[in-house]
Amino acid sequence: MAIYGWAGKILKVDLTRGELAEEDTLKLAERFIGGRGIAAWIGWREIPPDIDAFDPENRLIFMTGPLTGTLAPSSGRLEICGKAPQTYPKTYYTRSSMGGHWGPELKYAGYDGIIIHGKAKSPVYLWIEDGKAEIKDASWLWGLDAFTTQKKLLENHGRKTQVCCIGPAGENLVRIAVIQSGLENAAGQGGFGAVMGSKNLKAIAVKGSGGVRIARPEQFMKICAYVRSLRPPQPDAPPNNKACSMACATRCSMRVYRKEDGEVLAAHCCSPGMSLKPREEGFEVKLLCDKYGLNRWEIRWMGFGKDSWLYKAKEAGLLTEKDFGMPLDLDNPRFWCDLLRKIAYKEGIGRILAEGMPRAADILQKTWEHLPHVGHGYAAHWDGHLYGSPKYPHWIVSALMWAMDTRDPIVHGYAQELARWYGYGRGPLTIEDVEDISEKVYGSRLAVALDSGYKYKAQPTIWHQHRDVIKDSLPVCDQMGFPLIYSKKGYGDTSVEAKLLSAVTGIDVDEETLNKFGERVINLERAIMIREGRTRKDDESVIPYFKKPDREGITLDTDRFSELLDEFYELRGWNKRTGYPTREKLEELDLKEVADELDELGLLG
Amino acid sequence: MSPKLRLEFESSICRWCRSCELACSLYHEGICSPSLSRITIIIDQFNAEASAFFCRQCSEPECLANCPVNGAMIINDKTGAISIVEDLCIGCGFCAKACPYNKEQTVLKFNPDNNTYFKCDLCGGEPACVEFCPTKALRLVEVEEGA
Repeated sequence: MAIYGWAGKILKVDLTRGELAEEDTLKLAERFIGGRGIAAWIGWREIPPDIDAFDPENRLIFMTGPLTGTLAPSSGRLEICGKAPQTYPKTYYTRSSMGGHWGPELKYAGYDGIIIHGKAKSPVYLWIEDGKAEIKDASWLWGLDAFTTQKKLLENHGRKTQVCCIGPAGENLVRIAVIQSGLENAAGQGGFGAVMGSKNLKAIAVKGSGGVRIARPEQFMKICAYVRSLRPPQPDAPPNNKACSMACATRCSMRVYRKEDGEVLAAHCCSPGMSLKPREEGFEVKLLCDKYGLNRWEIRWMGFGKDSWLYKAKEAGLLTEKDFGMPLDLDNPRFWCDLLRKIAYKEGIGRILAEGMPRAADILQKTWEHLPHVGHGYAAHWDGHLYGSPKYPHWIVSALMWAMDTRDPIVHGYAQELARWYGYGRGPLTIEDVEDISEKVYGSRLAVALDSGYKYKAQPTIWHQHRDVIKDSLPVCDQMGFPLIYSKKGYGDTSVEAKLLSAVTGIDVDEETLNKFGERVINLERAIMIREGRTRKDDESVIPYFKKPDREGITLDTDRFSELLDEFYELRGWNKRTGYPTREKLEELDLKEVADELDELGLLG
Repeated sequence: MSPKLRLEFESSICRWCRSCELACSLYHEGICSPSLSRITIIIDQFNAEASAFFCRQCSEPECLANCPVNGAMIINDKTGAISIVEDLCIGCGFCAKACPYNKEQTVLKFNPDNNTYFKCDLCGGEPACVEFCPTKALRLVEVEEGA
């Protein structure tokens, strides 16, 4: 029987033994669809809860979804999961998403995903072509930057090959090392580049001549055209404005530049260095982040802008030339070229900074108050305080999402879309428009009403958590605006993910069923967290950050937030004292074996 | 005389999304697969270059002249596009060898599943690739016969 959507197989790689195996995707897809969903199941099944991210027993899971490699707008993505070195205070399971052309190519080569396990004795890379995989020597690549590594592998395997790899930062186990692909795609958050490094895995090169079968091609094409009509492609964008991912027609922020010496670079929104002068040297800073394979979101918060860690610590006199062995010249590109090298190779102060800012502050025994980190080891992101436009009361949803996540939550679907369409009086929609839409989507106007305070904030949080799982599992991209709540005519269409999935797979799924799937995966991820030791106290670790005044001087009310947390746990069907999920809820979501294991461990709510 | 249509590609405004390849194979084969697409896009990111390979619908097509099977390659009356009749194609590959633009098998491609060659037929005048190109980097243009 033909399989539609999925490739049908997951590749399992044991680097310690040098063994390869395969697993049937469809058995897992029934409950977990793909991407983040299937990865969470593998994480639950395989990753021992007490190990460190650098333990060979950690799994590095690359997982595409049924839409990856299709015409579905913005679907050229995959999810990369495992225990993450960047998380703080200890390492635990989380996820990072990557766009580009690598995920689609993996499917054309016959695999939905890869589970990497163990540690190779010496540097290796994985070569996958049309259903065959091979572990190959990478000693000739070890030490090379992430761009040169890709170019060498393209020379070796042909220019249609797609490569993801690590640079020196990943090799040297820098906790903010990324997995890089192409010019401007990376699994940035989590430090998964260092997990690859810890496994002696330099790169994965893939090439495939297959494709993704579509169950209802004509209908699917029409739905793709319809989804595009909700987010028109903007043909008048500047020509250096490129799509970062396959099948993405929407104008995003990626731009391609050429340096005076001819070298090409690309930059997205979070690209430290692009504002530095002289421009050519700023370009070099940006390029070095990518070539070393460093997480640019962390580098940006380390020292770019007056709200950054080094800026504030320097101003407070807490960090000086003495600590750095060089003047803290934060506006000088040369300072950054030096510092990035030191971090990537763990030289001098770089040895400390390579641990990530929260751990660096612990080692230095100072500067904690200047960290831009909200919680879990992740810096500000759509929190409405240091970063992003949501104002009170909208950042209460951000705070709740932050509280419940293992990384910076993607608040884009709620807050960034509100900013785009309502924009506090500057967008195309009025507050009345977005309140009407809120009632339709979230069940109440209070989810967005300006005077709603702490009322009705758990409901939109829960809805968006589910939609985020769907987005990361099919997958599609938040920068295109998924879930498409708004459009030019007001309401967008939040049912399009279900329509795309149904047309691709031939299995009819409605929006409600997908939302239920989102709830299943949130509960499974919660179970992983709980087994790793998470409690309500850890959820509350973000409170001090939100208690700092926002731009309008408003602070989080701890008592009311605590009541909101109670409401959240109750709506979720979790114990509100411990934050543990209950057997009833897990069984309702077809996760009986998860409930049984938590029960044995005494961790049921 | 009926107009002759041709695809044109403007590399500098190509958005690198490769939607054209996916729309093409989806329209013709019901599958999203660059290998089964009648247009091939190669993006050399490190040199910021996008190249497109597709049939330019020559006015004196070598492919058609070298096809040994009567009726297996035809010229569409409406569009002037040269197309392969897959039911008649015997998979000999003479067309692919004769085409001067097909060095890398990116214009006339072989489908091993049904032992036939396939090429761009301009979708009867409304190419799916053009419809799904977000920047009009791909356009359908009319050319004078003999041009």
